This record gives sequence, C-alpha cells and structure tokens, in this order.
Amino acid sequence: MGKSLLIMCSCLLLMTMGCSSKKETTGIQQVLGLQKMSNLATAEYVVTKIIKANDNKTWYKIGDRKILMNCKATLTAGIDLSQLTEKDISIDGDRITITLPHAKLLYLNIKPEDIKTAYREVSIFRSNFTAQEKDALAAQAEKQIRGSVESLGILVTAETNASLFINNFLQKLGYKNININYSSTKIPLQ
Amino acid sequence: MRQSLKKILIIAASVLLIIFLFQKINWLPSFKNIFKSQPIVIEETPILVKEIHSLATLVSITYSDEIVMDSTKVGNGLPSLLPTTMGTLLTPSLDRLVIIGRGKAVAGTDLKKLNENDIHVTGDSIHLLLPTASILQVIINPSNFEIFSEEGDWSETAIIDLKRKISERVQQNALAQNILNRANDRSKSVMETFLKNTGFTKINIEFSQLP
Repeated sequence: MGKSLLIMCSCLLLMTMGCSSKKETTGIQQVLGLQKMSNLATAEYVVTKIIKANDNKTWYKIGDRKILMNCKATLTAGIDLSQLTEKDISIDGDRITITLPHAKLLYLNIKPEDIKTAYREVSIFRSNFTAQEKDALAAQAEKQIRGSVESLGILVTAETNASLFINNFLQKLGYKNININYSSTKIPLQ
Repeated sequence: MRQSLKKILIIAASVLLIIFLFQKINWLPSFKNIFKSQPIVIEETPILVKEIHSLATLVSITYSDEIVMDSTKVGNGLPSLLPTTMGTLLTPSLDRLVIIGRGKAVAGTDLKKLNENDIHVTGDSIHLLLPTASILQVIINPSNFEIFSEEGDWSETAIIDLKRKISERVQQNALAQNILNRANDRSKSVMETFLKNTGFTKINIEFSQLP
C-alpha cells in the first residue's frame, strides 16, 4: 500500500515538473531595407468588412463591451516574373508559347484612415476600447481577409489580366500566334 | 489511525492525478488561466468586393522601414510638481501616445502607360521607352502597428493622424534611399531579361522622363 502511494506521488511530481518547463519561442528576424522584386501586378480588389466584437468572455468582468468597426482593404495580386525562365518560353517563327507561374497575392493594404469605429457600447463598469485593442481587432480582420483570397477570386482575375496584358505586349513585339498557359505547380499564398 | 491517514493520502493523490490528467486533455481549465482575461475574438463577417481594377504594374523594389512616432497633449489628469533649479514647478498632466510602425514602400513601373509609339521592333532589335518608376503604395497594416504607450484619452482622429505621419516618414525615407532610380534600374533589368527570353538580341531600353 505504502509502495503504491510512493509511486503515485512520484508520478505526480514528475508530471508537475514537466508541466513547469518553459516553452521557448523562436521569432523570425525581420530584415529592413531595400529588396529587389520582379512582380507583375495585374489585379486590384477593394473590399470592405465589418469588424464585430463582443468582450463578454471573461467571467469576472461585469457589464458589456462591444464594438463595430468598418474596414476597407486593397488587395493586389499578380505573377512573379522572376520564376519565368528561358525554358518556359518556346519560339517558333512568329509563334510563341509562354508558361507563366500562377498568380499570388502580392499585397494587402489597410490604411489607418480606412478603419473607422461605427458603434461602441461600453457599460459603466468597463473601460473604453484602447487603440491597442482596436488594432488587435483590425489585425484579426486583416488575417481573415488574407485567408479569403482564394474565395474572392482575385487570383483568377490576376491570371486572366496577366494573360491579356502579355498577349497584347507580345503582339506589339510582332508575334502573331501567342499561346499563354500556367504552370502546373501551384505557388503557396503569401 | 495510520491506515485511515494512508487512505486519505491515496484519495488526495488520486484526486490530484485525475485533475492533472483532465487539465492535460483540456477537460478542465488551467488554474493560472482562471483569472486570465479572455482575448476578444472578432466574428466571421462577410467580405464585400467593392471595386475591381485591372493593373499592369511592374513592382520592382520594396523598401521596409520601422518608425517610432509620438504625440503629447495636455491631459485631464492631476497636475504634477516638477523639480527645477528655481524650486518646484506645477505642470499640467500630459497624455502621451507612442506608436511603432513597421511598413514598406513599394515602387515600380506602370506598364499600362506603354503605348505603341514606345515600342520599336526591327528584326531581333528592340527599342523600348519605359515610363519612369513611381512609389505605388506605402503599406502599414494594423498588424504592423504597435501601440507602445497610450496614456490618457486619445481620439480616433489623433491616432490616425499619428499613423499617417509614420506612413509619410516611410515614404520620405524610401525616397531618400533613391528608391525611384533603383526601381528604374530593376524594371529595366526585368524587361531586358523578358525580352531576351522572347527572342531579342539587341535590346535598348530608355525611360520617358527620368525623376
């Protein structure tokens, strides 16, 4: 009986010790400065979203605190021309075939002036929403918009526009028979 | 007496073990989280597409920067005593707002401005007159702003103004780094590679108007 008690206590102690070990987090160091790009931006979508939040999940906080914000974002998509190599282009007289890389989201831009508080309700026992809290809510909206790129259809529009632009450009260069297609490998979203 | 004490200890240890295991599999909240404020999570609301624009812009340079900007105003708090050489001075309370912004300025060439007169082809030679590069946009998204200090009551307009100043500073710094000339050089290089790959051997690229 005493033995089993000892084993049980030892197990519990070991588990508790394991629980207290701190997890180390690794952050990616951002490098600032100039960076060369070769992106052909071909589509821009202006989207709006309502940011709706209710701070009522903490059990000991009395009273409601809710906010509604309007947000406008600009998404830019296009193709990365640096991925276009010699082997993606074949020429035969006035006939040219180009295999372009798939379109990707190049930028998402939410200007500070495009986020506006439309409504807020803060009960007497609660503090007002701080700028930091509002930024955190807007950052969640930013993440949701970024995640909905595929469903918005901007990548399809970007590929259609890219084909159209390159087709016209090659026509100006003298090509009569132009064939543009997209590589089979899909580029991960940025 | 000793037997009953043992029994109590075993029961206590078993209860602790069960609680621990339940916490491990998230059936019970962790003790340290009981008084922790829950994060505010926004609802999944629909995204409405307002405008669609067709572009043909060669994005050739990105400049990233980190700017700290602060603003101070007389607040509504109690005045404080400031020690000086002449004695103490009664000063009004000050509200302070410090924001860190990590943003980028994007520069490139608008190829939509290219018209037929800008392209001259003779056999395998080409002369191209590219439009000059410009700053296309300055991007500092909500996740790129950090409110380092927020003392007192600040209006939404005041916060937006300060964030706008950060954007303007990023643009100024990008221009100071000669971003437009670098963007022109890069656009020229990208177009040269593209034209070489499309069969031209003699390529001459110039700019319509240098900055």
